[in-house]
Amino acid sequence: MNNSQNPVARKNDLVVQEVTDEVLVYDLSSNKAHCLNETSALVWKSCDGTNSVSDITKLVGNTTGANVSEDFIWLAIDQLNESDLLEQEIKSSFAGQSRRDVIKKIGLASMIALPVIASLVAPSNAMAAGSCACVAVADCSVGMCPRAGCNGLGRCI
Amino acid sequence: MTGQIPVIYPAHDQEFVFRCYGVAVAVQCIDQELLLEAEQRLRAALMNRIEIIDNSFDISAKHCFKIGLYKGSYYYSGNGSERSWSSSKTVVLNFLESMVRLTVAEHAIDRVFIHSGVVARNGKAILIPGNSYSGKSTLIAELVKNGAVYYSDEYAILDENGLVHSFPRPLAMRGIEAEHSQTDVTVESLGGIAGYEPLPVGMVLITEFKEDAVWEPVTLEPGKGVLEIIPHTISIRFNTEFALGVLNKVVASASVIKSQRHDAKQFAKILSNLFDNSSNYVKMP
Repeated sequence: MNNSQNPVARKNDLVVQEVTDEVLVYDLSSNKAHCLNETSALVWKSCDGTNSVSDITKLVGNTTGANVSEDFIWLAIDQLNESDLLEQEIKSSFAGQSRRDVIKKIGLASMIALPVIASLVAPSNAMAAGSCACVAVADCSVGMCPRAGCNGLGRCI
Repeated sequence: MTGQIPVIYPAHDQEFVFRCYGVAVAVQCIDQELLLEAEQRLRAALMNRIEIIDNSFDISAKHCFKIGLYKGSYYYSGNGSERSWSSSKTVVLNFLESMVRLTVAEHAIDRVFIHSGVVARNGKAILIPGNSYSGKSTLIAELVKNGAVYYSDEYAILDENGLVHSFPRPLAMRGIEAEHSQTDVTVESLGGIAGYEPLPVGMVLITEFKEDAVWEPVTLEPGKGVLEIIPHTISIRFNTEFALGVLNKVVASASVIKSQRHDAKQFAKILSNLFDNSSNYVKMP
């Protein structure tokens, strides 16, 4: 049964690709790309709305064979929240501790890799191309290209 | 809008319509001489990989660019955008060339264009993604001088299987005549040859030049490798699923290596040796 407090992985407007042990997620609405390591991917896949954080803790523990704490799962959920990969934001239960404190605490005891999500915003086509040309300095700015000036020969510098 | 009299430009009745990598492009112009010059520029920029389309081709399916000369100034307009003006014909033609190349690279059918230098050694390609002014062409030239086969100093063109196709235009070297100007250098003048056979990718090198850099190569896990290539992937927003699928195939078989690098001349030797003896050469992060 779904519980509004249970995390639900977002499905809409996402392109998802498995890359060996990692999962790549491209958010079509924000043009952000995320790389979920094995543990954060495992947590994300377990967020089906029926599993509570406590259920996910057991699931991840059983899958990895490691002793996993709820803080470990919250660390993943916190990053999934931040990356907008959950249907609804789930309030973190770190109770006043910073993420860094939690990482320190879990990191020392953890037998498996900490959940990590690396992200970036995909550039516009002109930014990706890099070698844009210009007819005026105004062309060499955000939206047209990342460079600040026109060299007078039609190239942004 | 009040008080403004709309400018009526002469009709753009001259047209050069072509398809390149499956992308239909129309360049329209008022006078034939300027259009002919644009056509020559575009043929060279796209390595003559174009197929002329009949003028009756459905205009709505084209990417349409307009250039012209009006009251002493040259102008450019792409896909209905506002006109950009310049007193220099060269600047406008450079701009047109850039925008057409970009359009083809972004909308290419069944191909993923990565802004990257490409050379090959021992039947495998080395991709060096990078922005302009990152020293890509200089490094590619040095790799060619060290025996690599030249594929491109601008685009890695990948097919659906992750094979890289060549785009061996003359290398655009900077700083030969002036600091920011480009000079075209043929691969033959460097003592090298161009390759044309599609090849699997052996290595993707994520690097940037830094004068005092220490070469400390690290192998990235495949997912992180894709994340590093995405900023250089021109069609990533337009054709996301296809582009990610192709990048996935590339990293499944290629190593993605990351490190800063120093001087291109010395570094090309290091990289060539590294690639030829590619076992146990990098540490995991």
